[in-house]
Amino acid sequence: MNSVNSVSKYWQLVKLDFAGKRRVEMIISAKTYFHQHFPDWIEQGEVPDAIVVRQLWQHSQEPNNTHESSLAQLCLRCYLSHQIEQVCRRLSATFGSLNGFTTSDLLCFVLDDDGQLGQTRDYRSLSATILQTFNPDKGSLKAWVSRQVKQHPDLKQFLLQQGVYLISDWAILNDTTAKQLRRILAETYHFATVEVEELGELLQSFHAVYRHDRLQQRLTKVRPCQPPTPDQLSRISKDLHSRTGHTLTPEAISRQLTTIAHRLRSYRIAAQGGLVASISYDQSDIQPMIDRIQPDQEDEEQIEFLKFYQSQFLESLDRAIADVISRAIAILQKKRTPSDHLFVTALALFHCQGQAMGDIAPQIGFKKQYEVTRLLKLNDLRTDIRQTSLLMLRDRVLDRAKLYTDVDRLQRLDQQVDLILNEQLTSVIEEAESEARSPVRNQPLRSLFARRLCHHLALRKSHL
Amino acid sequence: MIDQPVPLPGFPDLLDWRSLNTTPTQLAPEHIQQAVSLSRSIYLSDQRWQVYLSALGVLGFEQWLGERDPDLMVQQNSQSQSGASIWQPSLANLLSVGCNIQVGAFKVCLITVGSLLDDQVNVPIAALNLPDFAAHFYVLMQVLEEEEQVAVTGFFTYEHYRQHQTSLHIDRDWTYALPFDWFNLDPQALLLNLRCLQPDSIRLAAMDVTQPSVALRQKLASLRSQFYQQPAWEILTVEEGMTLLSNPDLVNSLYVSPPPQAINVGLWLRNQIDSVAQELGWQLMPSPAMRSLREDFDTIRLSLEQQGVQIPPSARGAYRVLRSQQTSLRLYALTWLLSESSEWMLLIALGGDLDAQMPTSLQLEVRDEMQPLFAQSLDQVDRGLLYAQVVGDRSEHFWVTVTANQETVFELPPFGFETVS
Repeated sequence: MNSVNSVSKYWQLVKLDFAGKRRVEMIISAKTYFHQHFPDWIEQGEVPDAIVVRQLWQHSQEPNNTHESSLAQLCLRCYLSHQIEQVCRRLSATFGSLNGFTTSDLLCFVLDDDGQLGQTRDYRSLSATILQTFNPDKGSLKAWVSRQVKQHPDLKQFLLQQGVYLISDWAILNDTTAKQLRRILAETYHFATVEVEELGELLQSFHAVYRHDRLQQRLTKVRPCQPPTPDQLSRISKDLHSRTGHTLTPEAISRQLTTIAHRLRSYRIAAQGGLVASISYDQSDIQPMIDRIQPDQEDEEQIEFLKFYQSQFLESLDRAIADVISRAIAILQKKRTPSDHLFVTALALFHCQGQAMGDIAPQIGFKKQYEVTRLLKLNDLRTDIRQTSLLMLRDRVLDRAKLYTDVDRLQRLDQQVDLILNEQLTSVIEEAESEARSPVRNQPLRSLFARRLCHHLALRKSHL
Repeated sequence: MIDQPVPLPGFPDLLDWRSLNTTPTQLAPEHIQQAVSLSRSIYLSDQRWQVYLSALGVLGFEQWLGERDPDLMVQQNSQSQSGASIWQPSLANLLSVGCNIQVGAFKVCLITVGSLLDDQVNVPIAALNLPDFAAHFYVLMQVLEEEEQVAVTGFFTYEHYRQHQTSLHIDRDWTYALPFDWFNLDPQALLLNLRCLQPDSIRLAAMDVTQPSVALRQKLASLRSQFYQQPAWEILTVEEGMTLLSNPDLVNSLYVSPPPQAINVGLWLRNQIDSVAQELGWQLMPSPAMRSLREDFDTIRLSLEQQGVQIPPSARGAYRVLRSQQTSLRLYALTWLLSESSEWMLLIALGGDLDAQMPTSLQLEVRDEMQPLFAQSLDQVDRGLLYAQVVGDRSEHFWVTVTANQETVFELPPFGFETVS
């Protein structure tokens, strides 16, 4: 049982094999070393990590006995691999299902230690970097790992594309107006008026210096939001003094700013309730079966409308599919590495053969499922096709339908079309064309949308 | 190492997560540059940052729209900029949101924030109530400035505003605090409306535009320099502010664009002169202590000494000519540091120009950021000397105005000691 609390984490390395799958490898030399140097802890179920880590750290820093210090380091690297995995697990537990990624998607960016004793000069794993830059006087190794993982540039970029963003204290301070701060400190934290004023002034002085420098930086070299430099703190102090007559030392300023940031952060987490993340279809392998719900009175209007203009709707749908797909292809063709043919192939495999994203990936030369997801952007694609077909329908109908003149009714019309397009069974819209039902062996996706899309893709192919 | 970040005690976990409801749009480097460039036209630093963010928001929104549907054109001018109000620098000094974005048949206004901190969003009332700025859709954009990305976060319609208008009250800074639940957080729904909604489905209320009164015009003229140091809402009432915003001419003359730069007199002490001053025709007077060739200044120097004003040897000065149709005169400016403190002295004196007819009457005014400091008239110019002396610390600026013959007004760019350009 490889529980993170067990002592074996000091000689068992979590790593990814060649196929990218998670494995745990026992490193005998590390185990031997650990048993030699920490015989007492072997007995216990749980280990005081802080103490063990510190001792291992000290051993690893010894200049004289390089072999021993490498082994100590190896133990630490095993420990680190568990910590790295933990951070990734927590991230995917919090955001993965909403934003479409799993722990293993994240591990490939940060779990790169191969477990070899001597690190080669060419490539330094994240663990090695973490150990090199760690300063035990500044905090725990665990906290340092957490920070390094979260700041890893490739991981950050990946997460950002999934809509998950890391914000630093300084960016929070930069983004918050003095007015907002005063309100939050007074109403939520019940600070005294004097303190509210003082902290508001401090934030203003911070803004005056930090934002000014940031804009200047933008002209030359830009860096991520870093803690203020001593020079900046001194200028903040001067600005504060010249405006309010108060004096604060740079160190006091730094401390107070950090405190403000933490207050804001806590407030933000508490106020998050209003944010609703929309669920993307993209991570599902098979399109979910959308049950036919009982239409309310209000939806009757929409359904009647669609039934009445059935043939125009189907024409509009076909036109919209053609337009949106062509446009998507054109955009992909213009990229540095054109991927339009991969796009078409993946679309066909998904909709016409019902394959899962994970299975499609290797067929188009991708390693990971999320790369297919990112290429297809199915949610956006479906939305664009659906909305474009609605627009074309509007232009075809003789009397401008009332449904297009009201925001709520338009929304319901869109939802109704969405239902119809996604239905697995024949429905409100009966298809006239029989050639749409081409006999393909493996066809779980028989929604109207999929059928019309596949029809279009087949036409494209035959015209090439 | 002055540029190393200050180490903080312990490692408080400095990082936190934020979940966007949509994939953000990447901004191009030229977008950033456009936004930075715009921000230089903004006088007040808080407004400057907000305008910078709003410009990023506008550019990002257009990018996003272009990627999803090229048919939803945002109309642009010759500089590839949309009609968004943010690109009018004078107006942007007063209004930090991006209004008047035309998307197909609809007007869109963009409200840009850095991060979503709060359960409320502040929106200038002008963006909702003034016909020049009101829009069918108000779109909330988040800007991830560090990452150079923007995210379309949500929107509400003008119709919704109309229905809930009475529940709002106006903040001191001419904004409404809109509850977050006003926003539909599905950007796809925004696209649906922009694509498919009938254009006349949302009607914007026809509102009255007030003409600026004489009193307001006078108020703006006399308090003008305050607008460069304080936000307008600290100077005017709401009604006055809305009237101002309805009047592009007034706005443009108030916030001259680009902002006039200060003349750095500190450079004079090093026998240097900045480009701003040079372009205005300032000439450095030769040192030491200008005793030498300038007879015309010598007269002034004598007069000053008679009145007890001693010019120290360390002083440096420059002069320029102020010309009107009939007359011209010279304005001399001298500066020196006061020995004990780091304060500086500015001495202004008016004198005749060579062979030119001097005005018969003169008025000299000096003010700082907050208030007038000095005002004096001389009805018979040959009977006396018009001069002023003010002391300031390094961060202060002084504005000098000379009126000749009670009709020609010379408003000079401010004097500063060490200015950041």
